[in-house]
Formats: sequence, structure tokens, C-alpha cells
Amino acid sequence: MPERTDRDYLAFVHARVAELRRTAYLLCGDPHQADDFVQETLTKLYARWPRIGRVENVDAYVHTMLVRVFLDDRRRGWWKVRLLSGAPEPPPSDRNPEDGPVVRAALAQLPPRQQAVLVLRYLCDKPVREVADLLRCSEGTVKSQTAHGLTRLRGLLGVPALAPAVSGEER
Amino acid sequence: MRGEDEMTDERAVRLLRPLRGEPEGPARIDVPRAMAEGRRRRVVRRWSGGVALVALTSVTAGGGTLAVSALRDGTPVPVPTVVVTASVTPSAAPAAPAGPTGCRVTRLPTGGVTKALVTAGDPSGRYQTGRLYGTSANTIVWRDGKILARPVVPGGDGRFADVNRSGVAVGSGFVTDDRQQAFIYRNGRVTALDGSHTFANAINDAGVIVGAVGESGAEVPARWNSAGARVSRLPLPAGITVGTAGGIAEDGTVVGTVSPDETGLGSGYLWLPDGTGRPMPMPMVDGRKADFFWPESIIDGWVAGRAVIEEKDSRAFRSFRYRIADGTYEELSRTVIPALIAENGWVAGGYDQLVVLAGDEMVKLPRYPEADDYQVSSISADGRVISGSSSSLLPGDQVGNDPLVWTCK
Repeated sequence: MPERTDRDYLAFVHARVAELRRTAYLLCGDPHQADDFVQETLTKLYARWPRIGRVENVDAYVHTMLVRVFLDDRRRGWWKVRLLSGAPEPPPSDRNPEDGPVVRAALAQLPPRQQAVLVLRYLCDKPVREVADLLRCSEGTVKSQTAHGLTRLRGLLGVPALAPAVSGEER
Repeated sequence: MRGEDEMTDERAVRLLRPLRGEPEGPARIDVPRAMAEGRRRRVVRRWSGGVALVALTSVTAGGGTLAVSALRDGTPVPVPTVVVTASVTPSAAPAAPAGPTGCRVTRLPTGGVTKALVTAGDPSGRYQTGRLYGTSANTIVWRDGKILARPVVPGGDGRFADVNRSGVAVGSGFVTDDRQQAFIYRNGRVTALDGSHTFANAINDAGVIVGAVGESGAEVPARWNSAGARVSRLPLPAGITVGTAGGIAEDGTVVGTVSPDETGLGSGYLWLPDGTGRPMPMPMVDGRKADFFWPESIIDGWVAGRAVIEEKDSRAFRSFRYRIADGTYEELSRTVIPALIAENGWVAGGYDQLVVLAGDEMVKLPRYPEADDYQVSSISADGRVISGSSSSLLPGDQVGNDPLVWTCK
């Protein structure tokens, strides 16, 4: 049986690293941290490379790994913030909601999965189904996480919601 | 409904638009480092005796460097750094009878096959299993130093991971490129164990088998109560989603590693015969709690393995044995990889070469001529039969392996 070789790995990495880096950057907003996430993802990928075999969609598999690396990091950070600060969330910002750092800071207040869902859907332009695949959850969960995330984000940015944003769907 | 979704989407895109952008500056991604670290993780994810240890890499403990990078791929891969810190507290060593004497090394017969490995040995020291290269039969079973059978384990990378005193062996192969299947060898035949996406790591003399079930990266510890039994998942504590059962003692105690999810490194966990489970505590190393404990072998009453200490740029290991009854650790007199424990407390493992630790005493097992490096696969319950393999660099960057047995008094 053909096995995936180092040569295949290098070819894959060279073809995909720019896209991975971009996704990582959109997820976290920090180019250095993005590189760290990609570094860890490529390490995990190499560790599994001989076992991956001819997985049909290695690209999706690797993006799932990347999102998990991000979530893992954020979960740790998020917990720490929650535990140390005591205050569950800061008051809504009255600064310009079209300022990148302001939006990024607000996004960072969301639970990690909501952050990932919003970034993947609205910055990486991925359809609900693909986001569900990447996060290994149902489409309904993606939709409800999207709704909760957007509501929360608007609240933090002081942007009024025009329509009832939260659907009842929750896994 | 559709229209509302689209409106929501459009507004959301606008809300997040300020975050659009490309990462600036040169990438700081170091692919050779990813490969080196990834290669090291391949090694540590496997249980001792796993053929991958020799087939893919071989870590020389004393030198602290990768001695042989291999083999199936042509691309050179950078050398990972594995830090092995020699113990400075031999006083903590367990009481064990004076070490083995008169050890002799023998190459197991392979019927003309030049490259072969030992992958496992049974508690009596009579049976070994191995892997053959370059032949249609990919595995081999030896009894009393002679070839008993050359079975075919279906799939790629087919191998046996353990064998019991009755000569019943368990293992697995990649039946598709991404699906492993657990197999059992008994009565001269190889048959599949129940379940899909399974691998078997160990079998005890009662015929109870343990391993894991689930897709790679999402595997959970599993047990088969007999060769024909349905696969059952071992209970996991809340918050734990990934794990592997690696060993089973004669009394049914199972040891493995578990982690909260596939992104984390695993640490030791025990399933006791009464059905309860408990995480193994972290041993103390130089006044500091270890970050992980990786079990490498189990025998009634004892687990042996290594403490993992994460440093900023490296990872250090120290060998311990763990007394199941009272949950205490004892550091071994040397750090050996892996640490395979016998009933009398002796531990076989890799140091500069293969050694047996008996308390403070360290007995070096004789070298096989011409070999550069060794990997240990088993120690018998009485500590007097050790099996393993040697690696030697051949012309043309090929790596040769020989299946070896050491017998001692």
C-alpha cells in the first residue's frame, strides 16, 4: 500500500501553508500567534502523516486541526481571563465599531467556539456546512453559535440588533 | 426564512469586515522543526514494542539524539533533540534482587529474510512476535527460539503488539489508508477482532485484550473480554475524550494514557479490576511535579514508565515505577526508554545500549556484532529473557534490523 512520504508532506505544506497562515491570522488577528498556530498544526500533521494515508480531503482535515489548535489555545486563555478577572464581561465599548482592534477585542470576549464560527463563516466565507464539518458539530449548532456570537458581539460593540438574532436551535 | 438568514449574513459580514486582512511580514514557520518535533511525537505516541520505533526512528537514550532516521522516505529529516537526564537520586531505587548474570544474545531465525524485528514477547520468554520485511508474510512468531509461523496480518504496516503465554498474539494493520483494524493470531490463523477503526495493544494470559477504538485522533480506550467478544469502551472520566489502553496485567488491571482532547498530550490512567478508573498522579522530579506520566509497561502490582518534564525548548524524561496498591512512585536508578518491568522489579530498557536495572545495579546486555542501536520489546516475568531488535546503517543509507533475544541466568 502506498504510504504518505516526507516528499508528499513537503509538497502539501508548500501548497497550503499560505492559506493556513491566512486562516490562522483571521482566527486570532495576530500574525506571530498565527504562525505559532500553523507551526503547531504542521507538527501535528507530520506526527500523523504516515497514518493519515490517503484521507480524501487532507485540506479539510488540516484546517480542522488548525481550528482545534486555536480553540485549545483560546480555551486556556479564556478560562484564565474568566477566572482571574471575576467580571464576566467588560461594559460595551463606545469606540468606533469599524475599528479593527476594537472589533478584535470584542470578538476575543466571546467563547472560543463562537469566535471560530464567526471567523470561519464571515471572514473565511465558509458555508455553514463546511464550518460544521470543521468543528465536528451539527449545522444547527453552527447556526445557533453564530446567532449567539453575533448578538454578543453587537452588544459589546454597541451596535443595535435590527432583527431578533437568536434562534432557538441549540444542540 | 431564507431571506432572513441572508440578511443576517450580510450584516454579520459587515460587522466583521474590519478584521479582514492578510498576515503581514515573513512567515516564521519552520517546516524542518515541525517535522523534527512531529517525528518525535510519532515515537512517543506509540507503545513500547511498537514496530514504528525502529522502523521510523530510533532514539539512543544516552546520546540524546536521533541515531537512525529512516527509512521509507528518501527525504532527509532534521534530527530532533530528546533530552534524557540521568538520575541523580539512586537512593530512591526499588529493592530488587541482584541483577541477571551470564546474558547471551542470539539472533532469532528468519528463514533467509535479512531485515526483521521483534515486536513483542510473552511473560514466559518462550514466545516472540516479529515483523518481516521484503516477503509476502509480514509477521513472524517464534517459540523457543525457532520459527513457529509466518502469518499475514492484513493491511499495511501489519504487526503484532503483544503475545501471551499460550502464544496468542494481538496486533493491527491499516486495512485502508486511514483505518486500522485489530487482529488476533491463534490456532494458526489471523482473524479480525470485533469493531472498526480498532487497534490492539496487549493481551494477558486470560485472553483479555485491550487497545483502542475510534478514528485516529479520536480513539478511546477499548477492551475485548475474549477473542470473540464485542469491543467495549473503557469508561473515561468527564472531560476526557481521547485515549488508548496500552497494557493489561494478569489480574485485569489496565493501564493507558488519556487526554482531554486530541490536541493535548496524554498522561497515565488506570482501570482497576473492580471497574473503577483513576488517573495516575504526577511523580515529583527534583522537587517539581512532572507535566505528564507516560506508562510503558505493566505487571501485576506495578506500572513502569517515564515522567515528562516540559522545559522551554525541550522535554526531559525520568524513569519511574509506580506501585498500584498505594499509588507511590519510585524513581529508577537510570532513565531508560522504554522501561519494561518484570515481576521481581527488574526493568529492561534502552540506555547507551540495552540494559537491565536491578535496584542500583545496571547490567548491560551484550551487543550484537556490527549493530549501531537497539530497541527493547519485552522482558519476561522472571526478568531473564529480553527481546528486542538492533539497527545498523548499511551502505546506501539503508537500515538493517535484526531480531534478537537475550537470555540470562
